[in-house]
Amino acid sequence: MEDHLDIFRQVLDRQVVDSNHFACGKVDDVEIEGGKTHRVVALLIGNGAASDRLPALPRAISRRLFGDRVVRVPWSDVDVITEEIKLRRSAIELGLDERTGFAHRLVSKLPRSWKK
Amino acid sequence: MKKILEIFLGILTAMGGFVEIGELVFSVNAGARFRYSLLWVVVLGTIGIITYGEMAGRIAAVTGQPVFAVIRERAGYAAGLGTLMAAMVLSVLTCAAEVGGIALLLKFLFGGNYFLLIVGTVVLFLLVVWFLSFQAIERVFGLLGLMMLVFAAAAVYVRPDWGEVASGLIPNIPPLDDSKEYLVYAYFAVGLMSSIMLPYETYFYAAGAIEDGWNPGDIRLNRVITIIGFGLGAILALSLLIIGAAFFNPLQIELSLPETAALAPALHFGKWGLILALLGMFFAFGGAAIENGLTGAYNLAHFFGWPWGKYRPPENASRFTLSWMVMFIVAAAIVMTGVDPVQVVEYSIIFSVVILPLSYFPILMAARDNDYMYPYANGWLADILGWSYLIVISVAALFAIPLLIMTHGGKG
Amino acid sequence: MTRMRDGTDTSEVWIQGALAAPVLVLIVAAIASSFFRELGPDDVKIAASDLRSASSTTRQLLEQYQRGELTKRYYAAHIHLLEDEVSAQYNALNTASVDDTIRNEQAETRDLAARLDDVLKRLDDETADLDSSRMDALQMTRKFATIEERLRMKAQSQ
Repeated sequence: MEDHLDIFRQVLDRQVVDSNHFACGKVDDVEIEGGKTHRVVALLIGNGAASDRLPALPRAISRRLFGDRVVRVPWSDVDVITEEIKLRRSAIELGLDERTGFAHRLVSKLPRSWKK
Repeated sequence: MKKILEIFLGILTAMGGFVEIGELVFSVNAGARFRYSLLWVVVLGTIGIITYGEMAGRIAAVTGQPVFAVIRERAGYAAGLGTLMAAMVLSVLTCAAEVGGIALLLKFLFGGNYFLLIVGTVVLFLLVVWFLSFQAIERVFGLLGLMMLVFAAAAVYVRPDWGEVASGLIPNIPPLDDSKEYLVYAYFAVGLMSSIMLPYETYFYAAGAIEDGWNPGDIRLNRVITIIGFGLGAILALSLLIIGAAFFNPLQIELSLPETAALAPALHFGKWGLILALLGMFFAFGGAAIENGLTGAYNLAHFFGWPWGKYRPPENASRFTLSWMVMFIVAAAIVMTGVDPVQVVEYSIIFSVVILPLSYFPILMAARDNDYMYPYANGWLADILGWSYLIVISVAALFAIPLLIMTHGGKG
Repeated sequence: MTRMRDGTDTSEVWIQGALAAPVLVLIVAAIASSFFRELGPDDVKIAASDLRSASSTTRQLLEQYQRGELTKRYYAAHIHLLEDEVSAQYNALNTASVDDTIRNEQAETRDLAARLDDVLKRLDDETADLDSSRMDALQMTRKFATIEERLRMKAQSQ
């Protein structure tokens, strides 16, 4: 990894993928350590982090509707940064897999599309 | 050989998908109201969609990033979310209008109850999108949409004054009786341009590029498809305007229904012309409905980073899949309220131009970013066109809603 | 350790809510009021122009149908939808209140709309006289256009 990392341009709001290249959401916020050189300590993914970047009223509405869950991914779990941020572990391990949610349960019940 | 086929099909698909219900009504009525003098706006809009379509496609091919990922990265979460919500509302309204238009078309072709036809149409689309691959959907609706070429033939047969057509292609403001008519002219100019440059077209085109697995080697393909595909598609829009000018203007008819436009091909080609026109509309509107339904799902997935894509098994992109299903169902619910689809799409088109700068600015910034796109960043032409159109649409965005109000929705 | 942004402040939510609410109310009120206001010369002119389009379309439909250029289904569906549109216009003109200066035009437009509605209703019947309906529609197109022109002059002089 390079010496300098432009947090805004290369980390924040970037696509996160797991070790199997499965999409896990976006970097909604970053945890940084202060001092002379800011160091990224962790990535924060989830509406709890994203909604903090909204003005107060939309933030309150967003949290009410979509919750305030945040998943903290330590920087040590980051593998490579290209156009996407690839992690070392799988989405399931990190709690970022959408296949545990409501949408997945519903869609899985539908008759299989035979064209695959 | 395979590449040539791919280019050929890509061009035809872009062409067949150029027209949708709003554009049809705006184009014909622009001709019916102002004869040939708004032809230049079609040309202007076409160059605009080519410019930004090419950029969006190039960004997707080089970085693998779709438009709303770019918007979020460049504009940030808050501004991006605002743009997303606006784009979602407009997509669902446009989808609703297309579904309503299709239900009406089916009524004209086969008869039946309008509300049952809406349900039938949406069920059909849900099945089509579920079972068919992205490429199959694109090809079927794009290629069969080419039946709309019967309007191009009618535009020739209707014997327009080609001299006037030529002068209409050059930017002009015609002398009008009433000072209020100038506002209506401006409204039609804004609406016509917006209907050609609708934001969902860039979102969908870039998503399609990623669905088709484009990489930097496809940059030339992207350029050829946008320039020739959209360029030829403009012929359809120009034909509709010419028909408005040469056929409907002398009759003092302004369309309130798209189906009325079919009278022109019927005049020259009889019942077969009529049926071809109605079927062409079915596939053109159908393609647009599906594109808008999918675009809603694409935009959400691209913004929030969900797994997405028709190329994935649905259960591996379940939020994306659920999203497009909900889009169609909500669209159906909207039209079932009995609201006039043509009015809905006209309002959507005018509001679309207001959010257009918010979508286009991030695209331009990304496309000309040499670090991001190296070595495929904008050349001088893409840059000049990109900036010029950003200014044009920003001006249009400023005046769109005041014009809508002042001209009572373009009526007078 | 710090995050890029920090937590929530409840009072900010209320302040922003207090600012947003009146704006929303205003927009809704503006839209709602457009349904209930009095008709001005522009509104009646637009109604006349829509009806002019409708009567001209009727005439063109009849002409092309008689020449065998249209399918029966298309013709019937179109007539039916035109009739819906015209009767809706009639109702709007009949129930709304108007400015005194254009009361005549409103009445004329409304009465013509009623006549066009009759013509369209008759066309639902297979045995209707298509030729005379065509002539009627042509006449009405001219009359609507005249009213439109009168209203345009009135609006201009205001």
